[in-house]
Amino acid sequence: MTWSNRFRLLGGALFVLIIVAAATMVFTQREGQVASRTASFEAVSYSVGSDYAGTVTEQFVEEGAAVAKGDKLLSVQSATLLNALKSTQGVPENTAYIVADDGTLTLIATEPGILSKVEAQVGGFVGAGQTLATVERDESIFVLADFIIDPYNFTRIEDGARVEIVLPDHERIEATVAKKSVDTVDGNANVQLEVTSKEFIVGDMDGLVASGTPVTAILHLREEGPLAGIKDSLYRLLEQVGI
Amino acid sequence: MAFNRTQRPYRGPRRTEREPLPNRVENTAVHSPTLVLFVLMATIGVLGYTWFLLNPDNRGDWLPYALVITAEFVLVTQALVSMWTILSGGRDPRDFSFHHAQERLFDGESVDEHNLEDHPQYWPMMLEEQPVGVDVFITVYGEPVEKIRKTVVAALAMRGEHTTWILDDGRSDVVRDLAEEVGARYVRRLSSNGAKAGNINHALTLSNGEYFAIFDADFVPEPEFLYETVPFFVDEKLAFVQTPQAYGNMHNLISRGAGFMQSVFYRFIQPGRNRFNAAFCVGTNVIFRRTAINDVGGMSTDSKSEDVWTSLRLHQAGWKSVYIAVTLATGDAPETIEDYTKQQLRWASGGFEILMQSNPLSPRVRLTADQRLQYFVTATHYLVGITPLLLLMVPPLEIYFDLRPVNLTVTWLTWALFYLGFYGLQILLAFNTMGSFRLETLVMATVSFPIYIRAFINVFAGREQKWHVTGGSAKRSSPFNFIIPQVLVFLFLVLTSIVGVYKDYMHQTLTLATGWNLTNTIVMGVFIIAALREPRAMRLAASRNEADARDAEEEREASSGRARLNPYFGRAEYLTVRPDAEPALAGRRADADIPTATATATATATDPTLTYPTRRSLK
Repeated sequence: MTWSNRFRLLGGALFVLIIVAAATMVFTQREGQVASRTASFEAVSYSVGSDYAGTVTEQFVEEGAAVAKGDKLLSVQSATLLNALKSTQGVPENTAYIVADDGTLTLIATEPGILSKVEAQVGGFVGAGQTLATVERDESIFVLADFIIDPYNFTRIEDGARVEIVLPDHERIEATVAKKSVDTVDGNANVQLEVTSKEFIVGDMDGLVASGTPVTAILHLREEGPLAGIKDSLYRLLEQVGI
Repeated sequence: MAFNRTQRPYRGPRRTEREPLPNRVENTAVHSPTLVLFVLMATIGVLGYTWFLLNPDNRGDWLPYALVITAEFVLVTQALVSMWTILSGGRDPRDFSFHHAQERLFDGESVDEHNLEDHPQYWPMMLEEQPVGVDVFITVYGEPVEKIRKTVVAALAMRGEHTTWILDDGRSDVVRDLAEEVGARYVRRLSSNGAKAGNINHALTLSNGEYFAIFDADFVPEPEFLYETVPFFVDEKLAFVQTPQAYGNMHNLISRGAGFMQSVFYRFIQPGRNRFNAAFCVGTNVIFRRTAINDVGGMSTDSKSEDVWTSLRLHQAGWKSVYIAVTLATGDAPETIEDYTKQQLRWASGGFEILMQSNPLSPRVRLTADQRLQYFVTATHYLVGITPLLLLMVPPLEIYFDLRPVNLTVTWLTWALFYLGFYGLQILLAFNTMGSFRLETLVMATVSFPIYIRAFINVFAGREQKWHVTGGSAKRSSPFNFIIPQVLVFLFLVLTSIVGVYKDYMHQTLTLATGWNLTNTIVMGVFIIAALREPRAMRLAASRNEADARDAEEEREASSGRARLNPYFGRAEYLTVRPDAEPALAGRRADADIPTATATATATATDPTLTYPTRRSLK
């Protein structure tokens, strides 16, 4: 073999090694993580409603605006309430609304959050017990994600495992697993995870952090196998040199 | 020796002595009704597989799917057209006029008259009662002299009167001496432009036979070559008769793979092409009509694949061609990776050149619809050689990136059913047609893609292939000079297999991707091992050849006192020996003693005691 061809072969072999190493990195990376089948932001919210039927007279807060504990939300003018007030029984105390003597009931926020939905219109009649508005509680937003995981990978889901949330604009938010539930379909685990993070602040990331936003959740599994150590040290090296 | 017209024209067998001609067996497969059945079954298999792949429900990730679809599109298209061509080939090109002409080919009268019964190489040939002049060109370019000797001796001994020429572009004095010794004409050119085609064109200016046959230096013709081919020329529009390239040296992986790869072409495709008048010349074992070649301005010298281009020009000019699947010359398949690579690169470049420079589908090209299609298939045939690369890349995509060509919902069984419907039936077809399925063919077909890709790039970039091999004086360079891409792909597959096995072990499942990748690795590995063993095998063969050559030399020296073939030209000698024959033969051939500066072989001894060797001693 000629020397120039030997160098060609050597160069080519190095190139192949680099390709294989890079592809193996991608492979181990993927081996250590599972992408969700479906995932979206969900939030804990509470409904606001009147115990007395009447007419909505005023809306204090616009839909989508933040509310603090005790903020007024809606007023309802209720004849039933007026009757009750005049009766001997009176009206029981309630943290969810303030009652005025003229039969006006003012709904207030019991927890800080966002008035996500208003279902009543000023001047409209509402029945007793009907939901008039929904408030999403602050710091309650989480991601609900579905995964299909083979039995081998299922054992590698740790409590508090790391999850990356990929927003529709490819921004990423770090999060952790808070809760998991499983049912088995065709020998594979159908896993539902609740993922939470301190960085979930409603309205952040151009408003993408909001309940209902579809996202991709990437669940990181426990590292296993001979390549895991190599990968870790390589990552440490990359971090040390500042990449 | 008075000859009576009412008597038998001459004694001895008039047809071939070998009855039935064993090579005819090759033809029988083409006419087998079972072949039709198998081809139909394979066609159904192909269509089923196509439907399966194109069904949107089965589609997987786009990248591997695109790779598979592209590869299979090429394979399926070529397979369908090939099978159609094979089915079209169930017709023997030998019609009544051929048999009639063959029956009366040899001029029994003068054979008898001049007592040539035992010297069939001097039997005059007649077509339509007219004498026929045939030149036999043996193109030489540095081949070992022992190889050339075999070919020349066999060419001289072919039944039917002809002139044998050694066209030496290798400028070897040894070859010149050989020509003198065995009695062939020797031609040496001052330049070697136009390569082989130029060599033949040059020889055409020196000779004047109405027909000329071409043999590569390593293709040893059978005695029956002229008897089986010349009678076709009663058809005045016939330009050439092509016979197959058969190989006698299939004793290693490369030569067996290379040889068998072509046997389908020579046994089924080319006979099928007769029907389309699109059988083309492959450069050797062929006989041409001189006027046809003159009509298209000589052999085509523009390309390294002068044979296909010449055929294309002849067909465009309205000439006809005939292919017969009868082995009339046996040669050497490439034995080394170097030879194989160069041969395949030349052929593939030739194919792609047609596509680039004279697209058979273009309206400017004057061909019939049948010919257009056949030439188009020829021009695109070597794309088939590129498809293995696409298919080799599919398992690694799954191993590294979990990208699959088909939907995960497609079960193993479904996949296997359709896949076997395609490949299984192809293999079955191979069994039926060739008698066996050759793994060597599979190996060589899988590992050759870098050659075809290179040919493709060369043709489209319009550049000449240069090999990075130095030390041209060295007889053999390492095969690894030619297979760097294959070695790198092998390395990639080995590493990928390791990752695949590791992955499957972790998941405790066996995946199709790993199995497929391992198979590919083994196939590549077999080839690499052959390459590793090649230098040693070549050294052994070389020392064997040297020993053979020494033996042959010693034998010749020992027998130098014995009879020798006519050194210059059979007729001249014969006339000298038997002056009474002169009136009968005078004036038949103007070139009986053509004096040219380049025909350097000279008539040496005209020993009156000289006797002609019998056919047996010629072998």
